[in-house]
Amino acid sequence: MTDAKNDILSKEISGALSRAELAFHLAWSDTRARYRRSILGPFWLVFGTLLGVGGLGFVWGALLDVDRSVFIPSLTISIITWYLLSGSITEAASVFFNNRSLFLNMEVSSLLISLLLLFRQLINFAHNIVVVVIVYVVYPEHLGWAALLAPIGILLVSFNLLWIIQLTGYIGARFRDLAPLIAAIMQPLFFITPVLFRPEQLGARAYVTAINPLTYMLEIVRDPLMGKIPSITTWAVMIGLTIIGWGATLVLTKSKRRRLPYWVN
Amino acid sequence: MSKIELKNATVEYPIYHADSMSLRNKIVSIGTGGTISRGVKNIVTVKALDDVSFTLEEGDRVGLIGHNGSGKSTLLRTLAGIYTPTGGSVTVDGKISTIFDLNAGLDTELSGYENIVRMAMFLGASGKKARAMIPEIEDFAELGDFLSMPVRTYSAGMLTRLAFAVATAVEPEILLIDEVIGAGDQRFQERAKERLINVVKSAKIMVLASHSDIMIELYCNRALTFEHGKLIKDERF
Repeated sequence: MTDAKNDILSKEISGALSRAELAFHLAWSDTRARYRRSILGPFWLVFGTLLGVGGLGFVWGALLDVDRSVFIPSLTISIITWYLLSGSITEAASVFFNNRSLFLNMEVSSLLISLLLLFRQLINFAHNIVVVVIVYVVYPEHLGWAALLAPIGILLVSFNLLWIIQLTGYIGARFRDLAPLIAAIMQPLFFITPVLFRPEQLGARAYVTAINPLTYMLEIVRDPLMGKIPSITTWAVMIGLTIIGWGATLVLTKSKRRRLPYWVN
Repeated sequence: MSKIELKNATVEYPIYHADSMSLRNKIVSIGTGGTISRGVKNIVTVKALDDVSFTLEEGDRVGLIGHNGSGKSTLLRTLAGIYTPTGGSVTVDGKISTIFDLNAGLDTELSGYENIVRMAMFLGASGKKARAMIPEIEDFAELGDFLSMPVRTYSAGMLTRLAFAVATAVEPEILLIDEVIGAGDQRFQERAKERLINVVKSAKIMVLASHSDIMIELYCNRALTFEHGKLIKDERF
């Protein structure tokens, strides 16, 4: 029995790695199908982000009376990273149910399906990078060598999102209440994640951002692009999250993988 | 060397209904010390396969016979590795191809060509291989310029032609088929039959679930009959 269960994990991981091409192709063709017959295609997303950043930058900039050359780039990177985080988490709860036809037609790694969702979110993220480029053309002041750390940050965030999707996916497949619950929680979570503000501005209540893991996932992408090397705390939390998160996810996958086809059936 | 061996294989699966899928019930049951837990514990278990043993060797073309709910589809999914037996063992040597759901992987917004690649990859081909399969599928489906059109513009018959062409473009070692329903016009039916015979011939082992005696006689040399998840008859012809 133990042997068979160890076998599950190696099958899951090799099944995801060896068929990553399929996950990417499905993610890519899903994206194309969604924007079929529209003129801008996936760039509608970019357009939406541009409008969002423009609008928030205008109103928030006036309300907070801050330096635009700092505020606008920071806001842009925060918002597109937030879209990546919230998009992945929101869809994660129903990821296995939504891809059940993959499950019921062949033997497939559940991790591959989590990867499919991650790829789709990363494709959106990549499109949104256009907005960051535009913003940097206007406000180039903060672009520096630290930006070279950004890809590492994005990689680390993606690697963490993968376990978050997988873990949430398993629980969401078993308990159908999770999807609406997460949808309801994302809004308040947005308010305690420093997307629109700096933690310092909360004063004594800054602890709510400090205990929110999304804060660190945001910072590790944003700081390098704002010319700042992420703090030791940020790196430490990210590495801790990676280890604990993957540990828990692999344990859950190992014990529940066999049940999964029945949950989504 | 392809081989399938089942030893006392049993597949039981839980049916989750709204009550047992709810997180609230789980939490309430913790809070109330289990008095309302009936809804949680009340998961109905169905024994879809009951102590089934048989061995399939190369050359076996097996038809699965039985009423609706007798366990045919569960058996096919267990052979495919989708379901894991809760008792006994299932050993499969060989690469498995399945034709379960003709429309698996189909996205109606995409064109016929895009769907060929998508569905073929869905069923296990690499991207390169999937693209290489296009000419042959194009030939068989005979959809002409429609292949460049979104699939949502296809008639039901055209859709079946495309899906059938992709699903049967495999080079299987072990082929598992679940009730392929005939559709399309008379001429296509004839060609579909011929194509299916060829695919079945190229497979080392084939297992087909069907309600049609004609199909079983045409494609198979062995028949397994199931009733309530039990294997009740094994005959060769």
